[in-house]
Amino acid sequence: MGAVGDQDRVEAVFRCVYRRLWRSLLLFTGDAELASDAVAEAFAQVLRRGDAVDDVEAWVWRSAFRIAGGLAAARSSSTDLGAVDGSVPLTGSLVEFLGLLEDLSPQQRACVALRYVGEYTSPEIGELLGTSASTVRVHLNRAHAALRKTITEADYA
Amino acid sequence: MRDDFDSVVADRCSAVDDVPAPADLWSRVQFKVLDRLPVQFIEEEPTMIDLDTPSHTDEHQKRTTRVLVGALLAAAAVVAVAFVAIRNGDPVSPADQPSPAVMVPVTVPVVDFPILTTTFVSPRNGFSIKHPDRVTLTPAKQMWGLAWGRSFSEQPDDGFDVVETGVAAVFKGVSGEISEDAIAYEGISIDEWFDENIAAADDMTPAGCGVPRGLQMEITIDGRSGKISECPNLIEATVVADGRLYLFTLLHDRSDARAVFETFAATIDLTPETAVDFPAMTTTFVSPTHGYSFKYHDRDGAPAPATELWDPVNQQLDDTNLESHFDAVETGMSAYFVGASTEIPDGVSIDEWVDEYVSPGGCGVPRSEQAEITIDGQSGRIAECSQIAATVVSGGRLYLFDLRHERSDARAWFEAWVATIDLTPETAAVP
Repeated sequence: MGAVGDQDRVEAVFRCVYRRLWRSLLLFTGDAELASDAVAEAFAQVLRRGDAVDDVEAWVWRSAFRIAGGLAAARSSSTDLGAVDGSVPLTGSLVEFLGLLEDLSPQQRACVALRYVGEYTSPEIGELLGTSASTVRVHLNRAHAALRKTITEADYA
Repeated sequence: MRDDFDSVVADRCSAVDDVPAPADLWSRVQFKVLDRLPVQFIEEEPTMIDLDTPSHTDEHQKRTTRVLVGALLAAAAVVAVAFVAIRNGDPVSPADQPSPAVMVPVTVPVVDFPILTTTFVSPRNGFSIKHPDRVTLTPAKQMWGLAWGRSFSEQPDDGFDVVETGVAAVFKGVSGEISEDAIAYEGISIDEWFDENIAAADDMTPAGCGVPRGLQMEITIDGRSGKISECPNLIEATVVADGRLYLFTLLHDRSDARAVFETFAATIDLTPETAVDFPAMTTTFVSPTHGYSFKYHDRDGAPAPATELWDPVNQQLDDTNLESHFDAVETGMSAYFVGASTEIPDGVSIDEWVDEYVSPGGCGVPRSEQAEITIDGQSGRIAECSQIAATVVSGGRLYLFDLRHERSDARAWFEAWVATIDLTPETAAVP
């Protein structure tokens, strides 16, 4: 496939998934600007690879989460903490929930984001994150346990 | 995994649906492509980085430096060969000149090296090799962690089988499982994957002697085509066989080291089907509740102990409350071990009681028809389906040990785990 064909193919996938992907990454990172960066970088990388990538959608989802994880780690160790895209309005309840998610491990947050926003099943999440469905279930189970505690505490506070 | 809290989390997450995604995202993608902005990080998954993507990060500078060093070494080799050829007055035609991609083969006959007479079979790495009689052998004790995502320099030393010959040559061998499908999925070759994940990850002694694998010379090991590189005091060969990457090295202080290495390599049998791809379990966990101890591998932290007693008669176990009642080990390698014990009521038939209250831990197979297994000297039963579950009785308690997994070698790992269990019913917490 030529460069133009690759561009069209990738753009078609972008139009289809970018909202869901971006929102999943927002939940994963709690940072709108970082989510935008990760989406853009993942699609830029897949465009550079041309026709070497067969399943663009799966590749982009997987790469975007890895990129976002790395960006978040780098950002947390830099002085540029909490960079937020001010043009993106976040409701109070969402900000509160993102705060609760911060207490989860990155793997647990990724599983929650991919399940509830990405709408993927545990086996699909396992493939995207390079782990097993059973491990994903364990992460979700632990995320539930942690959120159950914090949500209950927040409700009674 | 479905519980009533699932809908609570789903509801909370749905708040993100009201947030509009930035409208200019596609423009940002195109800007990155056109401007070829550097990938800003990705230490954990270097294969995600385009090799030709310019970068200003330290890591990429190191990689670039290594590639340059490799290229310079190769170029130096070409110059050296040409220089020697010219000094000897030999005619030099372009076709005679070595490709810059090939290191100079310097084969020196073995001058003085003992005959390889004895076969060593690696207990973990899936190969055998012959060695001289009088050597010091150190078999591998741990898994070489390619599957753990560790970099080359972070690999455990005890993952290698080591043959110290006592004559200025130490031969080492190791192997690790790789997913050729996953590498192909990334759209890169084995050589590129190796350079990104193995060679470029070591800051101390670059694997491949700093030469990209695609530019190394070829070597055949047990009929498989591999690659070999040489640098001062080190020869290193890699070969892929049936989803395993094998790495063989010779640390030496000999002028005939290449010949010594090839002598060793000629005796290697690759048996990937015998390799062990789960870690050795060396740290002891003592259950605070259930009256046993077992060993685990401590890379992913200590097991999560049960916080409540296990009462199979009155508690229906599922994924959502399993951890409360069972000691659990999340290995991070598609294997999740749990264990628990409970008092057996007086006067019941063990098999019938287990069938009634502990199944489906028994995979739906009546306990009396399950295979036998011995746990800490006690005869128990084991059943295998999508999970592996073993039950055993000791001191009036029923013990259940369970492995939930997605691994082809789960039974071997389970049995290795079970072999570390000590049953101590006298230490169990009593309601």
